[in-house]
Amino acid sequence: MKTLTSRKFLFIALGCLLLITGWHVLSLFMHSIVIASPYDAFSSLYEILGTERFQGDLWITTKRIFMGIFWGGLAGFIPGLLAGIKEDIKNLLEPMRWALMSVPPIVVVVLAMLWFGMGSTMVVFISGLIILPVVYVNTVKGIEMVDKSLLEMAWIYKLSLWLRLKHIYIPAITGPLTAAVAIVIGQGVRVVIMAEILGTSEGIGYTMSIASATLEIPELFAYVIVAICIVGITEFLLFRPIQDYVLRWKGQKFYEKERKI
Amino acid sequence: MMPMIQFKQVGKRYNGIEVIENLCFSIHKNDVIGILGPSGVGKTTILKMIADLVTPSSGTIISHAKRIAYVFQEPRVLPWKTALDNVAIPLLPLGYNYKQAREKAAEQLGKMGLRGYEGYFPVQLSGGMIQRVSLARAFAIEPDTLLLDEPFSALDIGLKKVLLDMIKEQLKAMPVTVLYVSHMPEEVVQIANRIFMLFSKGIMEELPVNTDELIKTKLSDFIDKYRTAETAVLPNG
Repeated sequence: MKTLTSRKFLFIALGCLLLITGWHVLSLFMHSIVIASPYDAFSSLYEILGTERFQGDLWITTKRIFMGIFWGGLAGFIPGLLAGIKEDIKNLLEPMRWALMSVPPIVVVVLAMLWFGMGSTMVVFISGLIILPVVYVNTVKGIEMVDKSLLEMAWIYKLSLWLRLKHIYIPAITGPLTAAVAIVIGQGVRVVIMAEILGTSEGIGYTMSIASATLEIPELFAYVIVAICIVGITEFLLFRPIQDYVLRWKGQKFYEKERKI
Repeated sequence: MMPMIQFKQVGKRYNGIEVIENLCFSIHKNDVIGILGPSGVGKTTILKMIADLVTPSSGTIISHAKRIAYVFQEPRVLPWKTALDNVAIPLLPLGYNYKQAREKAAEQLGKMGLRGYEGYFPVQLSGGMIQRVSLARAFAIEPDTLLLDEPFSALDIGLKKVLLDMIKEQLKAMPVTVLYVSHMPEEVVQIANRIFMLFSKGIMEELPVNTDELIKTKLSDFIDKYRTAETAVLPNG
């Protein structure tokens, strides 16, 4: 197990190295006003890390990302559960899903700015709205793929809807949902930063827009590194341990003791 | 005596194909019924109609069964739940709280020889152990009717005997109306006090078995009939 984990991290580290190498090679052939070199970006990151402004921006953006993921996830998960169980609810919600999935994010941003003005509510609303259909679709698909033979068993033993939800539907959709969560984390970060660039006066996105306007390219790239770190840290330190715990039953090995019978 | 379950001219059609036609038979309380027949004659359909998983196309089923347990051919355990929780969960709708349900489940798993395996997930258990979890789940709810649908078809002979002995022990301690469906006469005679042979279209014949000797004598005739019937039935009929 230990070897496997070390190997996993070794390859992730190699992947990072490959990315940085590619970036460095690219920076050698392009002007520094177009692309900052990894050295300049990391130097800029080192300079901004200790500043109060950075810490404030990081806190605000992280809060917005988690709020967006939470509300968008919840707003997609609950109707997804209902739609997966009841075909009529699914059909009723289909036009709304089409609308949410086809409206370009930029239109959502403009409308949200008109409705909520500038600030956190608008950012959380946009990210939630973009995340909602991803969670909804994966929840519905997960429910539809629940093993019908288990539902027959539940019918025989008269399990209530609550018990079916708790012990059959929700555990069964954990697999498809974990795939969705990985997408949602990345999408959440991107949408929040985009919304901050377009309509806020604080947060990482706002600082990036200033850096871009003043051609502070190393600082812009430093913030891109921060965004990547947010995704990486959220995925590896928060999401993966939860995923490993809820799907622990999948990774168990056949127990030798049973051969006695 | 009033029958526990009564089939009155019951018919079942799947996609226009009549699988069961005018089936009439009765089961009394604490009868242990064996239903034999080749694949595709509707043995499982009979059990599913009793369990209300399938609705008859015609006729009536009068059932006084209040608490039904069903052991399927494939164990149908929840892969994400431990052996203990798999047995405990069906107890929750019966008014047990989670702690009581788990205590009862542990006791039942112990009776099935699974003490020490309560915390194991199905993926960690062998086929025989998983089927014992399924049996423990069925007996834990103290059913008045137990439906066994070829529960040991995927297991080897030695294990089959162990599990049949376990069921016999359980039935001694807790008399239950049992319907045991199988295509293996050797299995059914070990457990049933009435044996029916099901032919295609729901034609059913009861074998008058009273003593062990009679079972043995009748069994050879019966197996001949069975083999003939088996070749006569359409594969998916």
